[in-house]
Amino acid sequence: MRQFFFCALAAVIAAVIGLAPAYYVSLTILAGIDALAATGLIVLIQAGQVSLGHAAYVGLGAYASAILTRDVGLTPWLGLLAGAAVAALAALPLGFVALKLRGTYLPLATLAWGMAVYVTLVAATPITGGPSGFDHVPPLRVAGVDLGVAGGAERGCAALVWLLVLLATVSLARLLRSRQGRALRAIRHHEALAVAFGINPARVKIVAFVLSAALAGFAGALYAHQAQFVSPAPFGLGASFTLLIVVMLGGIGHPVGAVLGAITVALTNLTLQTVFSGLISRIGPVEPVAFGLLLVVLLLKWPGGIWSALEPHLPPRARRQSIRPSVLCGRPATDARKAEPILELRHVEKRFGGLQALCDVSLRVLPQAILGLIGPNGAGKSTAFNIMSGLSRPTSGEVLMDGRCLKGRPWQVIGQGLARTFQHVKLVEGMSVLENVALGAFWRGNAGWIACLIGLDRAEEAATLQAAAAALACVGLTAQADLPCSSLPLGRQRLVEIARAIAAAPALLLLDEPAAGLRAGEKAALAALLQRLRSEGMTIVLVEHDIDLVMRSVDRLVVLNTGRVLADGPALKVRNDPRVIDAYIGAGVA
Amino acid sequence: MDTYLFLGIDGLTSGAIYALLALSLVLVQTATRVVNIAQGEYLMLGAMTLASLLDGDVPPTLGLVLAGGLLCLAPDIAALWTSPRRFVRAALPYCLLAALALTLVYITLHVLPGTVMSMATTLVLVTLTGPIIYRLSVRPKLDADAVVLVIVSVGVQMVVHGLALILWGAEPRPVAAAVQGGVVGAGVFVSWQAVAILVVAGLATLGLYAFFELTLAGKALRAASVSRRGAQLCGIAPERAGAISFALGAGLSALGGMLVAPLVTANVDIGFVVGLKAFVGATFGGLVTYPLALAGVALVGVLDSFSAYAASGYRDAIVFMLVIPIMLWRSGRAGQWEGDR
Repeated sequence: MRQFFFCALAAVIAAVIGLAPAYYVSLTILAGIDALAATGLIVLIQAGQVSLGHAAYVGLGAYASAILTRDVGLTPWLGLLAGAAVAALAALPLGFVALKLRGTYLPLATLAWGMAVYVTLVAATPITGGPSGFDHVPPLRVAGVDLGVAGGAERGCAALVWLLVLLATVSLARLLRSRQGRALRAIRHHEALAVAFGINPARVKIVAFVLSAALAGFAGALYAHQAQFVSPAPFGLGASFTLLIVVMLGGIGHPVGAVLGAITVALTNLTLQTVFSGLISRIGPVEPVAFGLLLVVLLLKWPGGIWSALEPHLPPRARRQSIRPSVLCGRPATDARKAEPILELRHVEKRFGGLQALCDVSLRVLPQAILGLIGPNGAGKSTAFNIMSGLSRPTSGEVLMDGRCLKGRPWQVIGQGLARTFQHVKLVEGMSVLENVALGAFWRGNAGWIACLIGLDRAEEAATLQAAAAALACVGLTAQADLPCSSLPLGRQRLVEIARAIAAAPALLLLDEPAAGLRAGEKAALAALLQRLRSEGMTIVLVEHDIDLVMRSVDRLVVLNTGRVLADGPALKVRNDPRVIDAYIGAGVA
Repeated sequence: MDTYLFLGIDGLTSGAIYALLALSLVLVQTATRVVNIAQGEYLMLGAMTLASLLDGDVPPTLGLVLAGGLLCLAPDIAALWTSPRRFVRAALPYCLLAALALTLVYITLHVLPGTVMSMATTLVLVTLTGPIIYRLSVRPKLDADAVVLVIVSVGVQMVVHGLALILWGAEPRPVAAAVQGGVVGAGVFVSWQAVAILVVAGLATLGLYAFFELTLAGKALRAASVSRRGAQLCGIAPERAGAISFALGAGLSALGGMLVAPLVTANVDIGFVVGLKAFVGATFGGLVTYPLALAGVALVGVLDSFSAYAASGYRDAIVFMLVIPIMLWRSGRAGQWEGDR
């Protein structure tokens, strides 16, 4: 059914290419090139970035390929790749800016950078021919036929362009579903989450910029060879904004949005020019106003575009193989209980400016046990938790994991056997429950961008989903695997968080207030889950306010107060320690 | 030597114009989180409206303001039959402002023509467009992503620029300088207009600085940008803060437009590039600190006129390319990933 929709779309486009008058076929060529450039923009937006000057990369690709083929003698097919490469190189600096800059100013920087590239194309007259450009760009040749508009081969050219659009759409859709695609979508919503599960956001952003610019450059090169003529005019600001409209109109949820958007924009343009030609000649160019209004209204009223209107009517993607949930979770239990701690803090101190959050904190987490960490608000629990999970560094003191110093950047910590949950649930919106859990297994895979694009990651992907399904079974949410995560109530979302951490197969599980907001029944289930995980060999650190749950679950209890360890020992003993009662539970209550 | 001095002064003058724009950008961004691509269009509206008024024409801006105001009122008009009281309460300020705009245009054209009156009327008209655009494009979706708000402002830029092209046409309009002549100092001629630009930009900066640092209203605007919820809890309506900042931003930009109009014949395309250059300058201050933003725009202005002299074709490319090194430099210390909160 889902396939049926895509086939129908392809058939309509094929029919137009095969049967429509030549003028309309040449319009489909341009729409296809827009769609190709816009698919890259969708990938970028899925990563939470945007490029407001994207047409500059289309232009750069066009000029690079045209110059290399016309003056250097490169074959046009290699020219396409060269165009993509040059555009990718030009976008690289933006990737580096994106690492350092979050959110607000980056869009303007992309706009300024795009303008700079465009102005350079116009100004570098000796190389680019200046504002009037140049012609005699060699066309692409297929089986001895020139696919240039000049040779009257519109249909062949359109077929080639749309074949490439199909290829790009399918492989980008693959990519977004894959290991790397999950990482891409994760950094858009929760960068801290991505980092905790082994994703280096810097790398993902650079790849997103480079990939989207490469697609734009490829589309530009294609444009140059079919038109056999290049000039700067089609790559200016207006073109960049048109690409944005294409993407917003079609929808950013799926690469096919670029196709839907490009077709709709082309049809709207055609309508404006034919039906309202009288109006336009009387009052002037209304297209920018119309498209500007469209953009504003779309973003305010239908931010998901056409795709989000269509998608609910399409059945969900059928999974390729049914996943057999296994009951095993975590690492297999080791034979003997080791005496050495899994995680150890030694004289850890943390200062934020003048504020001393932690002072000489030493604690040991023993294997296959549950350690509770409690303390009143402001005691330093969260700081200690962040230091244990490698998200922040102690001002002084050591954190030892399996006897070795916890090292590397925050996203390398998970590889040392530490997985965490978040107090404020961080699930990636728009992903299914299973996909969210599969993020946990990210660091265990190694499928790269290329593999994910062309489908070389099948075996690994199956194993990843298998692990995710096993982790889901562990928390008892197998039936909810394919639901969107946002449809679950908070209690179950917390379980998904735990499943995601389990899918990372950690030696040590760090739970940050997992019971906050849970009802009594859910808390009982959580306590049972913790016992089961421990019996299967998992070590757990539990930061929690609910003293009953803590007492029911933990083997040892550490109490923090004003940044110092107040008590550390067997749970019951600590619970009855008068200092703890005084500082935390409150005198007279116990 | 004289050439360099001339270029330096020319650069400072255009830097002062960029400064007005940069201040507007910072103002709007701090109060509403909108990085406003369309900010330069207010400058263009200022220049074009002044040109119309000086020519003795009814400025199309008046029509834009009246039509825009009507659009803002549309939901209340729809509710006219169910609750007439709500309609009257909502419509009253709009009617008063519309009457003000009409009166001012009438006085300027028929009672008291002249540069000063034209500038005052222009300032009022363009300032009114600010809150209207805010009401129509930002307020319906206050909780949107910053990225979404940026793309919305792209749409607004297309609409405003497109409408201006339809209403005024593409031909440039010469605007006479408010004050003719100039002084010769150190062998270089400096027009009074350039002096006026520097003085006005300086005063506007000081005024804005005082507004944000010293007045409760200014502090409320800043608070609203940091946390909408928090400001709300303190009794600051973020919608009001947004409307005020859009009005101030529009007014400041229009001022820039009126001042620059005599130097570059006014046309509908002047807004965008100036807006973007102002942004490049403002990035020096990370878009939030005024003194650094001003140093930035001064530098951009000087660089602008030197590159116009040395490599005119690449002028804009050089200025725009600056954005990458500036941003890398400004954000040298990459933030840590905070934990959970």
